[in-house]
Amino acid sequence: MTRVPSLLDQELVEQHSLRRNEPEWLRDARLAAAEGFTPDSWPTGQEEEWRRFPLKDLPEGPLASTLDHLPGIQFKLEPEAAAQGVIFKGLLRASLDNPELVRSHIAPGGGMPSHGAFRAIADALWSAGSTFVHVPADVAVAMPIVVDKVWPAGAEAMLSRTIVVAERGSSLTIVEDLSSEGAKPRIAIPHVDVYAGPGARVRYVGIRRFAPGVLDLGFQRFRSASDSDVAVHNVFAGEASSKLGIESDMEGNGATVKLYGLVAAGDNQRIDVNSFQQVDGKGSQSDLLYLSALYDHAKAVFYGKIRVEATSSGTGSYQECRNMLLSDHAGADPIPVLEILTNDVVRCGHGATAGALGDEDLFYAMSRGFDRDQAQQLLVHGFFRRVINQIDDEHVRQRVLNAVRPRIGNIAEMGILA
Amino acid sequence: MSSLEIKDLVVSVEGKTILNGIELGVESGQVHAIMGPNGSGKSTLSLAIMGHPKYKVERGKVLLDGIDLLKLPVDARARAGVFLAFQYPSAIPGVSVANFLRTAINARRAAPSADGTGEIKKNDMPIPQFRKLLAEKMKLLGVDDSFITRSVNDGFSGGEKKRLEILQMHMFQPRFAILDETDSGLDIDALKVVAEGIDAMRSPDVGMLLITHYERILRYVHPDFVHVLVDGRIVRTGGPELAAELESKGYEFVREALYAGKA
Repeated sequence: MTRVPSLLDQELVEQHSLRRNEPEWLRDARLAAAEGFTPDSWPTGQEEEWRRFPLKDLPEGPLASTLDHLPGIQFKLEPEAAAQGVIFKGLLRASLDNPELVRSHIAPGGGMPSHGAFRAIADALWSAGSTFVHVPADVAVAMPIVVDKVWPAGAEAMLSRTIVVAERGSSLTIVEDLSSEGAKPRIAIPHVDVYAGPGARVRYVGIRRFAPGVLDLGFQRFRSASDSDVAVHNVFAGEASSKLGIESDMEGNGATVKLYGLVAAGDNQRIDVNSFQQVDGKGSQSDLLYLSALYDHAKAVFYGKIRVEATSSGTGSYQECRNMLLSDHAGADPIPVLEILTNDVVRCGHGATAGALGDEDLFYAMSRGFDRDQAQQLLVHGFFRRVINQIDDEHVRQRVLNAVRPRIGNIAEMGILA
Repeated sequence: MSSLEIKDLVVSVEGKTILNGIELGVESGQVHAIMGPNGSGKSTLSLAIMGHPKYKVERGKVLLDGIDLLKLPVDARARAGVFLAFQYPSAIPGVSVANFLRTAINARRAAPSADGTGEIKKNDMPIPQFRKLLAEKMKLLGVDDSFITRSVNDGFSGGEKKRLEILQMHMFQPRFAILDETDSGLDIDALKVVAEGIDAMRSPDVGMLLITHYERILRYVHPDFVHVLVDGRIVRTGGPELAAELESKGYEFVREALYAGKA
């Protein structure tokens, strides 16, 4: 029998809410979420999702998250968007200012059962860094919404919720850049919920650059209504180990979902991603592309599932995971799973590779005068470009490059002519 | 005036000896053609000089102005002034030709600082100078702007790959260029452009080693010397007339003469 750590205490959840003078409905939502933290929800380590990510060195006793505000976080919105009713606020602020809106989206949603325990913790105890974004119907937010979240040094858990709602026909790009200071071990559970309404266009970019010692157990869920278009970029930089659950659910016809990922890891980092692409509706498309550059003793695990529902027709889906091993000690374990419950499928497939840089490619680059390290930087940069180039906004692309640069180097950026 | 001297070079691949004591000297301003049948060791010679890890040097030296290149890592050979135009160049997806050229030029210009700290001091080519040089060389090779925005060799046709090799040669301005079957896989028009690109590189400061199967490229790039490589050895050396003789009589003729003489 797996011992379930007592990370969540109902009484502390209540106190957490009372201390912040939260409305009763919000307190109830927190307590309802906390009920999801059951012995059954805790991973035993036997689950396919958890077999390769041992949960060890967890904090003793109930988690607390008393920091109400992150220094430096700014909820800056372009005036045009604000004038059109776009909301971009801290989640607690939004709960007070726009209770009806928040209330209808804050209930603990579903999601992969394998990550249920951690979702419950974040939903019960979220505090600093939690964000609410709402874009009214047919409003296009031109500039990317950027949230820089830097958790200051300290031993407290970093528990946050991000709720993004893009109503019918609206569009936005949101960037969450997560980092932390201090080397003390602590747990982070950033829980992200994104809802793309009918015909909405949503771009979500999540950059993780946590300090070593952080155990990141995040979860993201993207829900796509008919004809919506969602693209997600997850960038794993920094020095922490991450276990991220990503779920994409389709709730209509003609939806398009692209899930991209970049992993730039070294030292003893372990980046373990579980994706679940639920494909439904008529003619929907769901594609995933994860690229990893692994240095030192880093390990990337990818266990991803595509499920093409029996109720779907004419859909297309793909899952691709490529791993570049840049040290003899780095490793990758890509495990794709397809579950196709209908014969009416246009395409569904997967591809996975893990291997060292090609000798011929290195030799070619070195024959041009690059030393081995520079040649490697060049090849890794080119490899990553396949995902980076899918980001529309130049500033966001630069932000992603900044995040991976400490790991992959910058020589390949030196020659770019503006 | 520089010299590239290959002395008693013996090279093996996976335990099999391919080059059997090559002796060859090239001086600045000279063009040497090396001709030979398939499997004679032509590509091995070029890749061994450049330092491909698969090719094991068993014996011999390759001296660039007296410095043994074989003791240097690949990139140092390039920075010392040797350029290899590959027969099969690698693709580098995600890195544009322009970026690659500029980054490479700047990497080659960087040098250890004089203070002995081992620190590398940058000496980047100013952007306007780079742009001017690139525009000039692109014109020479008949490539347009779209060519330099594409990823290096990614999805390139055979002709485009060879043009890029020659473009790189012009951009890097080596002291010695080795062209490994740069004429292979080219149609008549592309051959003309590429060959003229090679010929335009001729100068009193540059030595060239032109490796080829066929005489046709030598109609555009007139060699000073022609060497015949058979079974890992240079078995005949002559002037341009030797290429014409090979074209009419074939390599078997050389081989027969060689082994008849031995017998």
